[in-house]
Amino acid sequence: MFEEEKLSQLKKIQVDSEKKEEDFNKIQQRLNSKPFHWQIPAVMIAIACITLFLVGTFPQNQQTTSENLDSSALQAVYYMDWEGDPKSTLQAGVKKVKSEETLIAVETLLEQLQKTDIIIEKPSIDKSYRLEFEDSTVMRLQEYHGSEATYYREIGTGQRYLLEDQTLRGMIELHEPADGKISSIINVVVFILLILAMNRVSKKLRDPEDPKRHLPTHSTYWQSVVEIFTFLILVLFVSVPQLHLFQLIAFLLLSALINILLEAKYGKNKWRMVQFIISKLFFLIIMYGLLWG
Amino acid sequence: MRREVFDMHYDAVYKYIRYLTNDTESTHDLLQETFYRFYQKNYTEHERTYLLKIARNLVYDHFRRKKIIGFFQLKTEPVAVADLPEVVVERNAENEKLYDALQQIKWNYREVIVLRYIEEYSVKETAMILNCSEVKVKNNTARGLKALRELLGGEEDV
Repeated sequence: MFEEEKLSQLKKIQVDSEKKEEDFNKIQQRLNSKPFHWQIPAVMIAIACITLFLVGTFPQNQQTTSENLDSSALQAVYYMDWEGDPKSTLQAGVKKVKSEETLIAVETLLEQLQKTDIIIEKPSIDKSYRLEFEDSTVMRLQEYHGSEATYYREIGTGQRYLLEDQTLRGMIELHEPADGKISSIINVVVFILLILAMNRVSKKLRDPEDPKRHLPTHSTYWQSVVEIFTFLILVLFVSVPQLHLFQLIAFLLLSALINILLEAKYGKNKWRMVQFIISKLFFLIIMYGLLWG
Repeated sequence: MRREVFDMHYDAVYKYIRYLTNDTESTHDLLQETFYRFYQKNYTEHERTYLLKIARNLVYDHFRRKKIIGFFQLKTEPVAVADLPEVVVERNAENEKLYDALQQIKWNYREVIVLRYIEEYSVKETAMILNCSEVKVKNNTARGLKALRELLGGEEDV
């Protein structure tokens, strides 16, 4: 047939022998390179992920009471905006009272709490507090504003209190005004360091034998899929209430592990593995700045 | 690692990947990966069939990845540049036109045409490489040739 004849003209092909030799050498080099035993780091990272996740989600066994308020010295105060149970500063949005002076001021204010029977329907919770005392007892309070006073509801007993003129939030902010300067500076410095590291790694993206040619960023499309899913899940993480830092780190470790395993299987380029770790650190810094900053 | 296998099948694998991807740089990358995977599995029979099967899967992966990345970058796949492989012996206007048309037809038609008329495989062998039925190979060949004919003007019988 005529079409066969015409198409058969395209089959006469000559191969560049230099390129052929180069291809063979590269294949031989890859076959001779030491196999990457991924099982050990995989198991180690998996154990780290599980541990971090368990620590992040494990409930604290502390009695919740307000009965012995008078006899207990206040040890720590955790607080957060809106409703929640602030247990640790590792949770997103949770802050802790730092100075002894503030704790004493808060304790004094607690003594001024007046019991009340006033019920505010559908209260808009402004802040949640967790007060830890010397004898390991815990008191959880929710703060919401009424027209004349600030009301507090103790979770557990359901007892309501009111404070006139002053608020717990006001007292804490008076003693410890919000100062995010140092953490912002650290974030910016780490961010710049990561950009420099990324820049250095990206130089490896060029083929050493042909600097004009860019190597693909990922060795398999599955890596792109993992990156995209990581990004989407991180976007969802923003809306997760009280996300624990360890949960975030565990997730990013897992994502980096999958990327590295895929790289070990398909590309075996160390610079790509470094690139994945750096990109996950980027995500961590951004999320930390966004949720904890 | 058997060098003779590499020498024996290099041209066929190169040609196959080159005609499917229309990209010299990707061709060498995919070719290396094809032989690397082949040597790892250490096949001892039907070597070319296995090589072409591996090559086909890799080319598929390559296009899927480009498609996903293109989608998230809100870019469409660039139209293949109609450029004859630099190694085709006879470089003339007719071949340029034919190659151009080959790059424009649907991917599943193109791979059948390449295997049947450029690699010169039988319908049975092509079906084995593509892991599909012989009827499908025949249908895609006919449709591919028809598409080529239309692209080349239709006045001549391709």
